[in-house]
Amino acid sequence: MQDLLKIAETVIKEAQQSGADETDVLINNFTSTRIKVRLGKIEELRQSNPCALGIRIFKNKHKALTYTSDLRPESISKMIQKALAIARVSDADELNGLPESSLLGKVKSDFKLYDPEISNIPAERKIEIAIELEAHGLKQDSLITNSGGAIWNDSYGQSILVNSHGFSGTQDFSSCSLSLQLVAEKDGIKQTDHWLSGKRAFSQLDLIESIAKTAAERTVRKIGARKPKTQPVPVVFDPQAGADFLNIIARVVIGNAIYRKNSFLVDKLNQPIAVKEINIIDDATLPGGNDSRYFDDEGLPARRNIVVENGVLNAYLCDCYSARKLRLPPTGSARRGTSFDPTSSTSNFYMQAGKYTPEEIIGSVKNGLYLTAVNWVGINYVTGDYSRGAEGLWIENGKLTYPVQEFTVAGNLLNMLQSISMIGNDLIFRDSINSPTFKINQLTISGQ
Amino acid sequence: MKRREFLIKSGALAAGIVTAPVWFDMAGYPKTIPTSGIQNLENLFNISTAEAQKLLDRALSRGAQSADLFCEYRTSSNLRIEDRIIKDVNYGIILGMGVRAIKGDQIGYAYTDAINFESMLKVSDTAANIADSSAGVWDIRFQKVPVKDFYPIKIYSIDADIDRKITLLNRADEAARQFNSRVTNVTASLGDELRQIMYFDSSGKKFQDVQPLLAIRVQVITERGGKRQGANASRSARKGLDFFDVSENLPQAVAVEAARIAITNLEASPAPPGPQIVILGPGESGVLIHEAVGHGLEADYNYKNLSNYSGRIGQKVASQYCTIIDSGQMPGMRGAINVDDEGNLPSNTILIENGVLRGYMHNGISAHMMGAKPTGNGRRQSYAYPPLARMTTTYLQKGDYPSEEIVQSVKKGVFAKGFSGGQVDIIKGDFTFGVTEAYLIEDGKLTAPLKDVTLIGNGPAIMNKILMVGNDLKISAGTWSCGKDGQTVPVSVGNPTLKISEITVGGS
Repeated sequence: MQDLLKIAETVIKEAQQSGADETDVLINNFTSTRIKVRLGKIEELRQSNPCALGIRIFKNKHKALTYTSDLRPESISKMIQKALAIARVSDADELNGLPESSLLGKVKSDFKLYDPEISNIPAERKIEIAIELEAHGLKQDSLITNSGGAIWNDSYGQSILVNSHGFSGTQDFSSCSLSLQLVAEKDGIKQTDHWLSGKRAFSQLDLIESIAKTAAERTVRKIGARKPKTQPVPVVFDPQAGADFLNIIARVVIGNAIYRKNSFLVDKLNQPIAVKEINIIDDATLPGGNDSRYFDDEGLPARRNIVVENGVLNAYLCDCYSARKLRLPPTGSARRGTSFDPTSSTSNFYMQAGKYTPEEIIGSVKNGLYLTAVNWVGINYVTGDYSRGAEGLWIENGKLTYPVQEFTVAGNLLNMLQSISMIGNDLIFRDSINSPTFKINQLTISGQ
Repeated sequence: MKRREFLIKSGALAAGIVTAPVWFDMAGYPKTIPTSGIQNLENLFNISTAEAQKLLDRALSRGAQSADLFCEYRTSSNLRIEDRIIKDVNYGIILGMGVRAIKGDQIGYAYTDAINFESMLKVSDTAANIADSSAGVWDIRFQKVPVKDFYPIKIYSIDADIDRKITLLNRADEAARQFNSRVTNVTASLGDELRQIMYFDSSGKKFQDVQPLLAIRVQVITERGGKRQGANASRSARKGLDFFDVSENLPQAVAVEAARIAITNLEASPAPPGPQIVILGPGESGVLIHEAVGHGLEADYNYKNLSNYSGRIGQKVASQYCTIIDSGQMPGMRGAINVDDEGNLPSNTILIENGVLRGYMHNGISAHMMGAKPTGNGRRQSYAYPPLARMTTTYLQKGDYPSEEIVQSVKKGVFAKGFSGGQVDIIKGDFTFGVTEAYLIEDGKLTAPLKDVTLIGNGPAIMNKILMVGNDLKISAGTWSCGKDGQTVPVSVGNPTLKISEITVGGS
């Protein structure tokens, strides 16, 4: 859609002519479909094509950001004028400004982030797929009694960034996902879980049989859950619990968190923060990656950053502002929406696979927890204190035994990084943040 | 086979609402959109009853049983101070119209942010595809929903002098730094929005509402001997800037609250793990009610038998001391609404009365499916979403005990005062909530501060362990936002002081 790029270029011209020193414009325009079916019937068909534009202007080192979903020229002009008008109330900050021109650029390779097939799949096919997925799930096990629904989601469109230093870029993205939530019941106690597959391309989605099977297994294996005893034990993080753990790390290795001192990794650059087997990577150039891109939201080329190398904290991930603030190089890690300023953020973030099979890791535990899910509350990013509602399976003599629920796991994240002892060989890129199975030597279980 | 039929006919869905750049399509539509202040939405969207009838006709054209139009024009601003300077100044507008067609509990939904009639007709056609037959004749007589005003305001904060807002942020920053020299970083933001909505449906309901929302948030980092600690405090209401003139809402007071917690927690020790007696302080602990009871009583989960409270009306699900209410009518509260997002008036819904389950919170579809009266809980994040059954202000009614007496009754336990939020598995009823300020209770007195900790339990089981209820009900003015099915709406929570005889504390 050439027109959007033209709009963006017009905005830059108009803002600069109206007195801005520097300007950038982000336009996001995506078409999305969401289809939810439940018990074989459509519950919701939702279709949308939102478009929004965000303008960031700098004048005498002051800054303002305005945005609108109304892209008529008069409305956009008003938002340009509004940005210039309100910039005066911000304070001048020497560190404000667009990236230096020499930093700007795009990666030229084809990362396969846009699948033209998605826009051509007829709605009836999507509905059919969701209905089939749910039907497969419901027949997996006689204990499965209800469905929370199967959801098809897709989205495709483009993100356009233009700035007054001459950067002009369009990147096309697509995504699609299928998820299923099931309910199992035994002795009057209901359990639920879900499974999801989400990819850039339709052909990359897991087979519906496989999604249904996993959703059913995860649901049924919770039947008969007990509340474990309060005790310190070794904890094996499955890839989902591991991804949650890495999601926390993702929030404390970014420049914004560091300069705001909202991270337990402040002052830890180039120091060992984890056992030497740990390597953590942020790679925005992963082909087909759910969070890959060609340039970041300030116009820096996408890149691969080694964040933790052999246990040493190798880099903070920085957008231009946090980089200037910390006197570090920016890492192409700027992320913004049309309605908010760039901040630093991870892309495809993962822990490198180790050498153990998940069975070997579980097999190494005499009495402990196989952690499969945690709730979102209970993280103190400043101190690294960690206390989370959890679910899992109990390990006895190296074997998974009964399910456990209604308990917490607690510890400190820095201690946890330093007591990871076995890393699995089962890293799979399912999501933006991915982890292999790993073991932490000791955490406190609080239950009975 | 019927669905198959529908499916084939609905192929147009995939083509989307609009593929052409309709935002250039200017002919015949208003030339200017003012950037703030109150709008006449009929003029802004160019929709009066005649156009509404046409759009609803199209939404109903394939046999849907009902349909509605939801227009929204929302202005938002945000100011942020960091490192003693005003760093971010943001302002924006979103506007658009969503059309919903309903058949039983099936919905078709589409929206557009292009303000022209042709795009609106297209989204009406898209939504219509949920049904697959032909329409009856609809002669809609629109009647205004008689809306009360639970948030009367003279000057909306979005229109207030921006320099006044800057002053408020500077005061917050200053107060936190002056509170203690160990305060190293202060970030404060002041955000406001004005959500103007207009609604028409096929039963003839129409309304307009203007929903203001104001919030301040302060984050403080403290440092002592290489040890760091952080804390947040916030206030929010559907009020004008004079909200910040009240002593407990002064930006200075909010900043000092954050600084005080951060300083206190520098000394905090890990909470003991395991099941314990826990006293919840008044106000913020309403997050317990929201998670352990509230979500499970949203009727859309219940008619689908997806809640641990499904089919339990009339049963005892909490101790006799618990009476729990959801009210959209609390003036000026973040959770207040004059009317819900599908034209039903808010009510005071008794969810649990003396421990017995009495009712659910309904949106239009759940009320229809359960043959119940709507309770005014149909809410949506924006025009981009269909309404779901959502909470407004949910709280447990006050009891008899002074809070001191409750604390004095405990020999050893945990007093939980500040909370970050919570989560619940609606089907099994297990919930967690995060405590950010807590103290040990020893011999009826608060002693050592405890580190952040998570509490975990099962809804009805824990509600049955509430043994003492304080006479100090407080509705928290914090910036509570509730997420469900990908939609976020502002809510309020409240609680008096409560004693829980046993709940698992996630200590270490």
